[in-house]
Amino acid sequence: MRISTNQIYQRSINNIMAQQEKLSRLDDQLSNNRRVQSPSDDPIAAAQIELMSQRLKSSEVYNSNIQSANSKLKFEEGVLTGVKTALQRLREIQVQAGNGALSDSDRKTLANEAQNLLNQLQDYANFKDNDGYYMFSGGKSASAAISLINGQYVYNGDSTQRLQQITDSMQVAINDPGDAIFMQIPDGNGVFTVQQTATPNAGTAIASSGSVINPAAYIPDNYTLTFALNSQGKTVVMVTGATTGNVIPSTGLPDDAPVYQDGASITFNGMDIKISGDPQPGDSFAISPAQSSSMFATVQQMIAALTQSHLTPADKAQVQTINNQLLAQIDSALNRVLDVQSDIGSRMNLLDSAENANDNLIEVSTEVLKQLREINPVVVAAEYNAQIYNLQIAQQSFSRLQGLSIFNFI
Amino acid sequence: MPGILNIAYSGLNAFQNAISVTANNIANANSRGYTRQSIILQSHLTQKYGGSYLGNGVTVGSIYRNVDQFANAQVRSMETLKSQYDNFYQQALQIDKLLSNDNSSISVSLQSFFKAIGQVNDSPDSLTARDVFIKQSQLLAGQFNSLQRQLDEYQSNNNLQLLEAVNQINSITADLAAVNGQLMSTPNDPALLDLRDELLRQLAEFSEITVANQADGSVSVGLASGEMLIAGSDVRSLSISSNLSNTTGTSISLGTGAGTIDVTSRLTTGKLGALFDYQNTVITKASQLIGQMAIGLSQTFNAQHQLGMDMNSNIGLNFFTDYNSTALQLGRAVNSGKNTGTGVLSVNISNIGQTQLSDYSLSVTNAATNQLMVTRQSDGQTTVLTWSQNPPSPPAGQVVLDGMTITVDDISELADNDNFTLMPTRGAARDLAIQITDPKQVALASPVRIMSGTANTGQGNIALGALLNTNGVNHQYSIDFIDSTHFNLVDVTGGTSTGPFPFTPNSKNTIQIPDNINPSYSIVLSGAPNAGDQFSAQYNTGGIGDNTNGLLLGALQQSKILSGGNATLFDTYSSLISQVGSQTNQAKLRSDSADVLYQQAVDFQESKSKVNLDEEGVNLLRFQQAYEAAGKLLQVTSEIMNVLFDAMR
Repeated sequence: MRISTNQIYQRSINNIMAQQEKLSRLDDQLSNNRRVQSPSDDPIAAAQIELMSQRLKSSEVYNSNIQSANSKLKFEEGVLTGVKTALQRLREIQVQAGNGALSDSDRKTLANEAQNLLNQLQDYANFKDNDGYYMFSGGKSASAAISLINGQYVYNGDSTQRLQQITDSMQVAINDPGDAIFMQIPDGNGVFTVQQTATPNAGTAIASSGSVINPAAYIPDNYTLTFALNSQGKTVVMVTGATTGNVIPSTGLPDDAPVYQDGASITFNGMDIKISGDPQPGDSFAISPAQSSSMFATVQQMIAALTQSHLTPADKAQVQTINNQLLAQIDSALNRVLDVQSDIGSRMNLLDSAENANDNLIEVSTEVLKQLREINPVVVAAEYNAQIYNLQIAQQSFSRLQGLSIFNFI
Repeated sequence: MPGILNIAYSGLNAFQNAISVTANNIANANSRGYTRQSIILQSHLTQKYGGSYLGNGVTVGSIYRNVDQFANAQVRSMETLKSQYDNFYQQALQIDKLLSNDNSSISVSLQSFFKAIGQVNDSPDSLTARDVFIKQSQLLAGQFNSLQRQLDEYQSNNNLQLLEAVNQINSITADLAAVNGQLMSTPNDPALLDLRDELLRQLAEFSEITVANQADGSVSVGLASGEMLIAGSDVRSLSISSNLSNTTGTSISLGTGAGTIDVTSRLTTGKLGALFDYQNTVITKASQLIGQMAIGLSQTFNAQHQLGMDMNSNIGLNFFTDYNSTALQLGRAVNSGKNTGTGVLSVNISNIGQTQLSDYSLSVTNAATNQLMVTRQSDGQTTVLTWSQNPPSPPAGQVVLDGMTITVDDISELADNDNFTLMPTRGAARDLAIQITDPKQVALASPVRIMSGTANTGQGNIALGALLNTNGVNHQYSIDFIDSTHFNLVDVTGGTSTGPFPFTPNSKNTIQIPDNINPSYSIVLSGAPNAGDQFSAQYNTGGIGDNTNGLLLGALQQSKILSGGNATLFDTYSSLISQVGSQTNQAKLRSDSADVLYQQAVDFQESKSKVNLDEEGVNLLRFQQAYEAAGKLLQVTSEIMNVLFDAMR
């Protein structure tokens, strides 16, 4: 085919320009390490890159949520450890208080220490978080959780638990409202309470805090345990319930009732209570279903028991019964704190496993993203060198070609 | 003897001419549109000499242009093709890069926005975190605005290019008509023919044209769709008109002598076709899509935000400005400018989930029967509707279609064939803005606080269910258990009590507040409460540490709010990226292959018509030597004469 001079130049230029374009593309790829410079380079990969980086980013957000949740829970756990230590000391005091040989001044010293610990507990309950808000007030974080009004400790927060998103489908609580930790603790042994009835007993019978030995048989009711004399002049134990009627004996006659034995268990409707000492006929104990009570109220009762008159054997027996109750109540409070702590621990485990899952997802997504978006530097570097060579050839061939003219020879 | 002299002279003359043609070729080797010329030498008429014939020298038969009309036509049509794809690619590449660039990507800002929600959920009572969130939302809105502004800029740049193209076309056609006129008086002037071919080629860049040779030496030029541009020395010029606002694009009209006709829809090829195609499929689509995202975001976010309670214990306000403000509703319907009626339309986006990515044209088909027809431009689907008589009563009328509620202020003011363009989503990203400025006004808390009674003896649990509206949150409710399987619902504020209602222990019991008929929210009770246990729900005054609503706001990241509940905001954006990406990619591939075809066509044409200097060099030598030989002939003639003169001496 005939070829014009213009075509010769144009072809050389086109060739050189095409080679230069390829070279500059490779240069771009090498300099920013990206295979897909703009979506049009590979539209399908571009859409996947977009979705992958979105997934990556949301996993990163979840991880940062997890980290701050972790630090919040650690902080809370630390505060609860303080509460636990205070409660353990209170328990020791309560155990000491059971020692009947204590003098009134000893009891007074213990009462003072208990009062200090009570204030400490309130301080813990009103602890503030990093942002200066009360951490145990639930949603009402601007109000102090616990305040003392007319001698009563009152909770001012609410039951709202703050959650945080840690994976697409999982949320975890990052605080615990104070009512669950400090306030709503069942009194007595957790199921029922045992105390003297309104008229103080004349005898020296001491009741244990009791326990439920057969939950299936347990019937909640307000029971009264009374000591009476049977026709043989022996002290017998009788129990009646407000709604269940005569329990021991079912006939309600003292002669059918079992004879009182010092230190023996009295068992009825799934409950077991030990009574020791020397009861007088007419003495009685009230056994009622447990009510919610705060740990502050329990400590207040402790202090009251420690300052109560402790002179006559009957007084001592009354305080002893109260002490048995209080010890069980402090144990309940302690258990509640331990429960919350172990719950926090399991939440932190959950955070760990969620973080692991997120980390895996991040790792996989990063890997996929890398494959989608990034070049293989070795391959591209090799291509780059080859391309430089191609360009040189194109340039050389042009310089040769343009030297060829017949006018050089005529 | 004079014969030889004449022959020598004719040779000198002919070869001089031949050298002059060659010289002209060499001189024009690089002239644009120049067609190589060749000389044809013929022997002069012969003279009868005895029984045979004696040659009588040489003469210039013709000087002709080495032109191939087929090759020219092919170059023109390839020029159209190449210019179409090249131009589209160059334009689309800008948006392609814009959407994926981290600095302008909406996806990146959306991520930061949702990340800030996550942080503020961590400490809903921290003003610093709330402030960061507000800042981040402002950035997000700014990103939407600036992306739309970029698109507007591309649109107006596109309009400018169209204007420039129309000006060039008009100047080319005017030149062509003038050349036609000159050629009618001086037919076959090679320079004029070259000029005309070059002008035709330039014209083909803008749109596909048809060229017909006329007997008088002129050519008639028309658009591929048949409209005449040039006939002889008559020319019809194109004119450009922007629609009412520069955001809705540009149209091109052709003068017909009597008036003008709109030829926009027929200009589908060449640079004009590329610019229109880019305007309609890329800029408009992108603008509709980010508009849909903007409305979708503000609709769902506002709705959830209004179900929350802020740090001042007030119910949440609109977080983003109202996307259905009167001004914006009116702005979505544009009058065609030729309407005879004076009815004003407004478009309310009632359900963004159903809104399609399209503009619509609405025309009044029968004003007497209140009938109208709406055409969806994306797929051409038409719907015939009738203005409803409400709201609130005539004269206003209303129709609902594709998530839009279209209202006309006065049915009686509409006339037959009135036309409106409806743009539900296009450009909406321009108007996305943050309504609230005070960090305290971010409504992260639930407006309802639930509590278990402090004296409860049972094992009942209370949880807050779904909050549907805030109608019932101001009253305090108490759920009082009569026994372990029945409870009363007491409206403490209103002083009413309903019940008893049954309760199934140890399963989830959902209680609608205030009642099942008009529920405001629900409460889920589980476990085993005892008689006398109480649970309460009331307004969450002071609940600044609550992040219940904040979590629901954050969950919008994953919720499929667009395209009929099939796409999240992120899905939508990534589909935009891949759509524009593949359009650009396709244009690049087409432009590459059009390049090859164009190159082939040009090669073919140039091999016929362009100068090869080596060839001319050879011709030069050839004609030079022939000229020298002819000169020698003169010398020989003179020597013959000398011989004769010597003999006579």
